[in-house]
Amino acid sequence: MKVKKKTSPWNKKKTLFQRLPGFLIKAGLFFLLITAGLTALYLVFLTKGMDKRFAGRLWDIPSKIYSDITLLYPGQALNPPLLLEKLDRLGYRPVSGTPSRPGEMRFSKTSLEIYLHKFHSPFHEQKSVSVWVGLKDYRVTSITRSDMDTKGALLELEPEVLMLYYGPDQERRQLISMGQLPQHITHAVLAAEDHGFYNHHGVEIRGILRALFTNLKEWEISQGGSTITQQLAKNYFLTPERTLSRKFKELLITGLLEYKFDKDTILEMYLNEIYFGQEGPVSINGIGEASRFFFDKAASDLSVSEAAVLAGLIKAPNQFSPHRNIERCTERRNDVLAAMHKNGWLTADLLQEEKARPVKPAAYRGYHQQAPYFMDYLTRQLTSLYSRETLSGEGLSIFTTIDTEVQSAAEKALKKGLERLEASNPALKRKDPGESLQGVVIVMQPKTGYILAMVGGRDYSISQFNRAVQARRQPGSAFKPFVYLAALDQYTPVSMLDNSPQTFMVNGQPWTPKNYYAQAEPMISFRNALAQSQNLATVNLAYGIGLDRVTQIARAFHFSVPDDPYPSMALGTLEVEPLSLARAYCVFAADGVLPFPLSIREVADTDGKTIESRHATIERLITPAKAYMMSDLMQDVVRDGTARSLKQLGVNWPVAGKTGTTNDSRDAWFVGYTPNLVTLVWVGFDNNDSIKATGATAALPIWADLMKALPQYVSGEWLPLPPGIERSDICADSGETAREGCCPRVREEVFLSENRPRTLCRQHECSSQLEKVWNGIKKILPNF
Amino acid sequence: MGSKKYCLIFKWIVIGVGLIFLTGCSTLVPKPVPGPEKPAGPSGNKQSPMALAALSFSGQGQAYLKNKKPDEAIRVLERAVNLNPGNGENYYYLAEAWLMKGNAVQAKEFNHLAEVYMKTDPEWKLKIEFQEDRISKFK
Repeated sequence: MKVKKKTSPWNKKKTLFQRLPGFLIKAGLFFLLITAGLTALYLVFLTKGMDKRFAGRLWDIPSKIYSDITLLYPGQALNPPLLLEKLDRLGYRPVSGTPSRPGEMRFSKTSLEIYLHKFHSPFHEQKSVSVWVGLKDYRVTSITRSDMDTKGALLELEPEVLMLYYGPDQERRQLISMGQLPQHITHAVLAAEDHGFYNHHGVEIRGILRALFTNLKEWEISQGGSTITQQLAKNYFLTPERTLSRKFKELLITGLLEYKFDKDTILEMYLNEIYFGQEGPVSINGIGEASRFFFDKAASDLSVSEAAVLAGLIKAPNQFSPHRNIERCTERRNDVLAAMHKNGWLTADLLQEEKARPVKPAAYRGYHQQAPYFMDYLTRQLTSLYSRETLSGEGLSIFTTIDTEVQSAAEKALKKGLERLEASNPALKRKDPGESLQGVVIVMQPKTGYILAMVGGRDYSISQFNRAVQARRQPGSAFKPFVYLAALDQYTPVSMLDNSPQTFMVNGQPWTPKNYYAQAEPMISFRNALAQSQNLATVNLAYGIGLDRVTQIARAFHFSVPDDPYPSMALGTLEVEPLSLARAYCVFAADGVLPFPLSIREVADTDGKTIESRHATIERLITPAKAYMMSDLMQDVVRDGTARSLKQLGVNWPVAGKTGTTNDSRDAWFVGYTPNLVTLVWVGFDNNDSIKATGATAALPIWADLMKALPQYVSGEWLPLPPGIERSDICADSGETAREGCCPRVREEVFLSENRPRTLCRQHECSSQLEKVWNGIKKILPNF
Repeated sequence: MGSKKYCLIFKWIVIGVGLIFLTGCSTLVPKPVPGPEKPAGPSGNKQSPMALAALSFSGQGQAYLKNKKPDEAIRVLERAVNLNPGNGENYYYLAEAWLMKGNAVQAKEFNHLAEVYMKTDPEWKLKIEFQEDRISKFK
């Protein structure tokens, strides 16, 4: 029997039309599954990327290079223009009344009133207090701080920012944490950007719908409607273009951020990330940097009104900038204040009070690079310590030895000096600025090796070649002190040297050195030979002690000396870098110790903790007695020798130094010093053209201009007499120990104890005791 | 005229002989001035404003040393030296700081500088010698 198979309606073969919904459902499910899978994969990818990003540094923060602090103390002489320029660079604004806010100052002939900025460094904690500095004849008479009952002995002004190491993003940022911020700042930002931040999960549907509606209406993506989390996702992880795919990514990242972090962390990241405007090519990012830039204060010190200004800037930083349009900025601030009130974060009374406050931004302060040659010199050292990524990203604070007042004075003195030379001799002018007359100024502190100023050329924008450390030039007569130093064991200041013309055989060739002035004395004392920079006497001296001894001394002073010494070396024909020469002169001013040139003092991390300290390190090269002897001899260079014009130029305090001029006047030098400053000036052409001037006429006036601009570094004191030095009266004619009452011309001379002349003058012998007494009386009473 | 001249000479001979007796016959060879001079220090004569300002840093340096903070001490003592290179005490304390940091080479250099400036002060001389001894024993 054939059983008829029952067919279920389900088993009936469906038509294509009947099967379509099922197919579509299956396809839809499949598509959803694939999309979900792909989204999940993409989420895993995003999560990994996000983890990687958060595991490392969140932001690149440029490292800052700082100058040294500036001291003010009672009795200190000031150079008002230099000090006022410095205060201006530090962001102190002159006010007509009494300074009442950080960053304000008032200067008069009798006082400097200043309201200090707050500043913290590993070695300098500066409170924001007002300080009164009494002045008389531009000299500090007293210093009174508002936070101290007694008159403070010293005022330390915070260091200046000299340069920032930017990364490729050119962003400036100071990080803050939520704990540092008063609540009114977060309220202002939430009121301006996302008042429901703490209530939504990263996305606000109403905002999206509103934005969607607007965008559809205008048929372009013009409105964001983004929450703070979305803005963070967009700014921190995505590129700024407005596309649907980017919006999709933004939503995914927003979800991930909300899933992974709590609200406070998201807000903190946002406040550190957000863009607040532009300063030249550099962008101001984060509320910490914006507070400094717009109000010259830490974010923690912002008032309600100021917080509202900054919160209002986020929407359109350039449009609402208080530096651009104060009315528009005030309107926007009032909108934010009103929004704060609407959300219950500001009482009606406070709203009125804050709205009534005028918006008072800090003066626009661009960070211009200072001391560019020094910065290059510093960068070479820093890049040997840290990678470029670390320098541009880890926000290090690098404190240097530079004194910006000295640096500024050195730059001005060099510029003025070179212009003066060109004006006096138009043949020195060059059409091509790249070939113009150049110069170097280096200022160091001899005992510690601190570099206070370094000018490596006339104009950094034209030539970045740092002549202070990269040029190798002949020092000429500025090298002579090292020859005389080498001879101090055998010679005394009164030893007579042969100064007559001679021909020397050098490698089989005759060499006839000449004096600068042909009519020089044939015999000259050791002291006068150096003071008058006599070439022949110096060459004879070098031969007398042996060229090997000169070479030995030169090497000890870290000069590069050829293996095979040659006699013209005594006249400074070897090549030196200006910094090496300045450093070598430090030995004379520092009791015989050679300091290492110091430019970095301290490196601190973003938390202000010291990660690197550099201290002065010294190396004894010669005895204090020999150093003193050389200083005493070089004082005569300034008193009666080739640098005697210093007195006419107004330098009337004790100074020692040496001029230097090379063959055909290719180089002009003057290195002068006091116990606390060594200053080197070089003038010349890069291509070795003659400058048609000497060290005394080209370099020395620049030195004088510079030193006169730095009264704060002039103590007027001289080096104390060290052990191993004896003063003795000598006969000016014979150079032997004076016979009291017998020698007609007696003068005091200094000697190393071991080679003080013991012989009594043989030219003037008194025949009797009576004659001696008679001569003594004649001396006391010449007109009797 | 002639007798007047002899009279004048006689007068001066008497004065001269008297002077010789009064001064106790000075020596023929002048004595050299012994060095070094009295160091410039807190107890010295009137000091320059720079030297006075340096004292403030010198005091800070000593306080850091008491608290065993040699790096901080060096930092302020260097400032004191830059302001007043003539005060030998700062070199003594710098030597102490370097010794605390375990750098005997630098400690020795600064001890030597302290000696240059303070050798004539008996109290400081002893301290400096004792410091030198400690440096030489430092390994």
